[in-house]
Amino acid sequence: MANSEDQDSEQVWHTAVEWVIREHESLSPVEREELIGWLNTNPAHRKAYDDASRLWLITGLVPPSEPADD
Amino acid sequence: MIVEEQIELSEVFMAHRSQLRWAALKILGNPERAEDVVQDAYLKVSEAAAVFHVKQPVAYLFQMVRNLAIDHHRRISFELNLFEGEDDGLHVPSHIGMPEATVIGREHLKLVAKAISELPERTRRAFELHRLEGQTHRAIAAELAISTSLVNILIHEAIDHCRAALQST
Repeated sequence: MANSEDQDSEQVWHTAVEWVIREHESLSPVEREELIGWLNTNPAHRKAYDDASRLWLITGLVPPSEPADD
Repeated sequence: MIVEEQIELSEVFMAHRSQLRWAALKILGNPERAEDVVQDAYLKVSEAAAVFHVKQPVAYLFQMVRNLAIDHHRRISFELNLFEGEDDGLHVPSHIGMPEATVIGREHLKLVAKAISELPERTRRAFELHRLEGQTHRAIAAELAISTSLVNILIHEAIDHCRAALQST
């Protein structure tokens, strides 16, 4: 049963990443409300979302890889 | 060698500073925020230049400034929303860490770059089209001839792989 907490935190992480991905494409006002609601449900949501946002920022600083035919 | 590249990228940055600021201004619509983003981009690009060999510095700089401006814009509007209706509406969200102000360590940059380079070709391509070129799931699906749900799965896999790379340290 020790795994059930891990599974929960993986699920929270997955949801946080999904929000960051959706934000990157743009959120409607309704979706934004939904995100804010999700963040306010649980501090763990906020933490996962902050971690995912930070990781997202780092990935944006990596230059694009070389073309395959280089 | 690394030092030379860093100086070179800084010089390219300074040479294009006003155009970069203009690019940020177009997204943010606010000169002060545009200036903040350009300053922040300079710091982050200096770190990145110490880690990466950037082949197309001008294109890279514009992409970074656009990325940071979009992230900044999103954060601002998001945080204003998040605190709307709380207390009397005068609450200032000062305790929230802006990712723009986050110090990005060189080690983390290296680990994430390595993690991205390890991804299967299709996964990496889907991720870069989304993250770096800002393409929609639909456009990426069309380009790679896969479904939009698979595009989403691949982007998640890419992010999870980067996360695992940072956690293993």
